[in-house]
Amino acid sequence: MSIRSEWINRLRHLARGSRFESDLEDEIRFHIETRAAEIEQSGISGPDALAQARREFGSIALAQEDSRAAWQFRWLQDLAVDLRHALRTFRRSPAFTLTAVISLALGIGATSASCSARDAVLWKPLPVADPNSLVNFSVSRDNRSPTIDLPAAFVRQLRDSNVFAGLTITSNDGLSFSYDDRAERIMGEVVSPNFFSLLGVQPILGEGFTPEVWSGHWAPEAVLSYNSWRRRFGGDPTIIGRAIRLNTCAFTIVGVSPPSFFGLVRGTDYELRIPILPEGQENARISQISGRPQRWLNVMARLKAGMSISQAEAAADAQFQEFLRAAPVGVFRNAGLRHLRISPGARGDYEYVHPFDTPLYVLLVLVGIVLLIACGNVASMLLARATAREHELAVRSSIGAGRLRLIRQMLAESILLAVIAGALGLAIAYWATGVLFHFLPQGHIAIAIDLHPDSRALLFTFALSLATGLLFGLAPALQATRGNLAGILKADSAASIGEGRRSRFRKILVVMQVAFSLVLLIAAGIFLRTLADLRPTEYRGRPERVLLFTMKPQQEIYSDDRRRLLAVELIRRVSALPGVQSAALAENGPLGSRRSSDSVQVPGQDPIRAGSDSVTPGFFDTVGIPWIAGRDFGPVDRPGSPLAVIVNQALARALFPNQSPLGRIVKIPRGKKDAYFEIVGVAADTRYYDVHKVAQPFVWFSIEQLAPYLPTLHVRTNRSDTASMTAAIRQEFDLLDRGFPVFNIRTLAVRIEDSLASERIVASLSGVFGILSLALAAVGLYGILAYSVSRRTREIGIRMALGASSGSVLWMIASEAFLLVAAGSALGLAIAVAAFRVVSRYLQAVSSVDPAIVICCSFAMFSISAVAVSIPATRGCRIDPFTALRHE
Amino acid sequence: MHPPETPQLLPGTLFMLILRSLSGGPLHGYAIARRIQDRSANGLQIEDGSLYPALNRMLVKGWLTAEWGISENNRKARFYSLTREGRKQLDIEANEFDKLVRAIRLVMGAA
Repeated sequence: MSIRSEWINRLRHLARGSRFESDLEDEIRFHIETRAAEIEQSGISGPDALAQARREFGSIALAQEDSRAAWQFRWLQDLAVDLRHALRTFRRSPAFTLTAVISLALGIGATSASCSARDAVLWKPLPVADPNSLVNFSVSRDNRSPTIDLPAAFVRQLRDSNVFAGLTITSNDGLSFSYDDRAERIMGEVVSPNFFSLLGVQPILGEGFTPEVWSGHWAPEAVLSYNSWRRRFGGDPTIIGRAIRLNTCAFTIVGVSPPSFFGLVRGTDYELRIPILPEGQENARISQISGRPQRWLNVMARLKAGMSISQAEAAADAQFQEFLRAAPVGVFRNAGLRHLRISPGARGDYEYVHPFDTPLYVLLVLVGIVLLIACGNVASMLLARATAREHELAVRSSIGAGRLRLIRQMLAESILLAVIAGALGLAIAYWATGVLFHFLPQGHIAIAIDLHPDSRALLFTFALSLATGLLFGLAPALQATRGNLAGILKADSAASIGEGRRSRFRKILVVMQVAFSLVLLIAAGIFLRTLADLRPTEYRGRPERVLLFTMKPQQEIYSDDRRRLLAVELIRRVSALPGVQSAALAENGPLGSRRSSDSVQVPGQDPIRAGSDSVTPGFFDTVGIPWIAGRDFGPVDRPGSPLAVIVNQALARALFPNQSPLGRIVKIPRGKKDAYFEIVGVAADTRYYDVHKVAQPFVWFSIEQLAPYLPTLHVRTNRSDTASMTAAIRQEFDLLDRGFPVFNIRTLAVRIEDSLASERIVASLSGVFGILSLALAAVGLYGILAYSVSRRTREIGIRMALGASSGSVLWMIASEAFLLVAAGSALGLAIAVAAFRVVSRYLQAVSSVDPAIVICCSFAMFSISAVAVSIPATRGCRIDPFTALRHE
Repeated sequence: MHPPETPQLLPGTLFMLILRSLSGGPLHGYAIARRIQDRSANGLQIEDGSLYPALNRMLVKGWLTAEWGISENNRKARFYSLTREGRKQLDIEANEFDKLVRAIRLVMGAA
């Protein structure tokens, strides 16, 4: 007989309700009366016979009770009793309940938030049908890291081979999107027509491409992402059939993807998807849409039902080897391709969110400590309360409640507390996750994450609450029920057994709390210091007054000459604006999301890898890079004139140690050919692309000599009102040409902050958590002192009656407290130093444990402790000996 | 009244005895008690009161079903009958009991 059908029988019984009782009663009466009738036949009189039948039956009440019990969910009903009791206790002590719930809610909320964040960023499977059957590809190569792209010609072969249930192609592309007249820069994705159907993503409006496109007749169709539809079209339900332009080509909107679907690349939310062209067709204006068989494609596939990854890999690699053998000599043959590999694709591609892995991990550890401190607080409060409730526990134990029953009762209370706190924590978590992602950089491509609370977050928070309840409830419950409870009833309450042990336990808890909050404070100090150390100061003259505008005159639409002309004209117009000090273009600009590098060689020596960028005259002054020697680019550096470069000090030192680099010629390969450049100037070292590394060798080209691709306009203004300045410059763009998008409009100061986003998240949050944990520790300290003063009222009274001054009483109380704080601080410091040793191995660019930080944090710890101590201590020394002694 | 010489019921055998009594057909509670007493030639006396919790426990397990019917003395009585599960359980328990008794006999005979 299975447990399940027993449960079903029990549930049926619940529905039967009161009929069970009357049935049972009837049945027992029938039994006794039938027996009585039988006894009567043997000659015994009616009442006597009935009495004898009753005797033989035994206790009717017991029989009823046991029969009833057979049907009940015993533990469930006990639990209900326990919970009712717990709620009653909470109502009786609202202050305790509130404090406990709030500190736990903060701890649980913070933990849940950072877990949801980690889940959303890194763990959660893609919101598509059966994500576990999705796989990614990579190809191992000779002497190089594997490539994740596959040759387009092979993709077709693989699709035809039917190894997989289906393949889909994705390729992201920056596009000029125009709906009204102004062009905007968006990130879109070129996908194969089966994209939505293969993933099982059902559009909320329209369809994931029309059946014609499906069957291979390409049409200019676009499926909008949900967020793009809301943002750009206000969620207009009549959007289907509307025409838009992408790189000036007309497309028709045929669908809107659902709100939960952000695509296959974690951290991105491409605004729209368009179908890739059939093989052999191309579109000169949208390069990524091309169906050229020579290109490389990013592919995701769905396994056939029942096929394992290793089986699929073997079959696909066999196809790949066949492809390599038959491939025409050309790119694919020379790329050193070896074997096709398959990896699980349920989580999509997380290359893009990888930088957030470490910060989110650090965060998780930090909030874990906060939660532990909160647990310590509540455990300490529960212990104090258990002492106050000794009498109740003793009475319950003396009327037959076993220890297990008492423990269960107390655990029910703590778990209920934790679950209430968890519900509140969920709200805090929802809010906190939003705040957390405000810190994320919104750069060239903003990171996009679906933060809607889901069943995973709910389940996690619930499980966390239960675990928390057990964690802080178990020790007090075990402590409180230990020893001879019945003895308490006899003894004087103040002299009760177990008191010493319990207060020792509470003291240990306070020491731990102090220790861990000091650890958090020191961590916060270190992270803040790291952030301050990393923030680049080498960009001179107020980076908040440098305005950046990235523009994209599409290569496919604007010719090289036209782009050069635009650049010159733009700088002329913007420079003429009042309030503009200087204006210059740079291909990438400092600390942007794009970077490039070149290999620079003094003929006859080894080449040196250097970061590179292309700029217009005036760039260095505009951005605030100090000038060292030589000249800036100027009108002489035109196309056709001798090629010029400017280098930074690091490159100059590397190329020409102890010599002037000015006028020297270096060789730099451009495309397939080598080109020779003259060094005309030297600029100061700056961290140009990566703030985390010391200044690298760097070389700047002249934009006029190399056509710009996606340049950023840098404008230095002497006005503090950057908003109106931005609007005025934006207008110049519109007057010049509305056909290309202008985006990423921000100041250099903001860009610097964005480049430090992950350090900033960690520093600010650890600061918040440090202060939070400090407050929690102070509350814990206050709690134990207030309690100890109230327990020692009589002792203090006697001391004062015997002539102790209030000063000595104050000292007695305060010294006890500061002993605890000192012990905790020492422990905390030891943990912090040990933890730092471990952490610094995994986190690069973390400043050291600076004595100044330690002193500051310890000072903060002692001052907040002084506040927490002062309240109970002054209460202690105000004790009136007469009332105190009469009190007992 | 329990005569002192009546042996105590072996623990766990009450379910088996009830199952066996019902294998002939549905009976009400009182009849089950009588049948166990008669069949054992008064050698086993179960306390009538303990019968009902046992019956309820077996209902929960799904070995029995209960229905109201008319007794031989024309009164409303609750009749219990075996389910398929109950029959299976009877076979299992009877088998195990046989084995147990045989083993105990062997030990006792050898001594």
